Amino acid sequence: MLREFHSAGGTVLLVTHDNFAADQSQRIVRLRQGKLDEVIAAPSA
Amino acid sequence: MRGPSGSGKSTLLSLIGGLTLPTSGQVIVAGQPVSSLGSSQRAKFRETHIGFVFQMFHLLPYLSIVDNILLAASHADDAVRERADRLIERFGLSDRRSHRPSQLSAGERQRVAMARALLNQPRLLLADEPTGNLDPENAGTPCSTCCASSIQPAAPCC
Repeated sequence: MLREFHSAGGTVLLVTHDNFAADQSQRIVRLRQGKLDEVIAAPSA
Repeated sequence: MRGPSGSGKSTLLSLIGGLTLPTSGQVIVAGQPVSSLGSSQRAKFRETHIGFVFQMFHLLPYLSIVDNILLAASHADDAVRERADRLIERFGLSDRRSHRPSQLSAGERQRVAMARALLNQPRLLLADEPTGNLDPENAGTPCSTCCASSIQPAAPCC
């Protein structure tokens, strides 16, 4: 469903601990103590 | 977006959606200074641009499924009701529309939360651990349920 929404032009910002869901994203950002700690290009990018 | 518990993930979603105001700095979403808007303007901004799927789905227990979905719209006119009906059908909830959330499985509740988030055809969907409370079998649902015509955003973002 999220993929459908995204391919129709929508933007999804997903908070997740789920590796499968994270692997579907174009970009993964990691937050630590309120700050963007790390930006990881994801496999589907 | 990932990070340990308490790192600010949910807070960041709230800030982007204008549900929380920053103690310092500004929040700008798609060119809009969200944090400088008044509360009714922020509500309008949310209704126009943003869909939320909350961590625990946050369905109201005393409302039916269709009314929970319609909560996302400030005016449930005919066009909005028609969109809600389409989403209910596409998410396989037709026989659940008059049920209360407590009568639904976790996977079904998740689909109701998704339908509510998509009702206003947002361009940005903010989802806070939408698969976090589901068993592995149901956890695949948000990615695998296909319902193209009902879930399109109003227009490309920016």
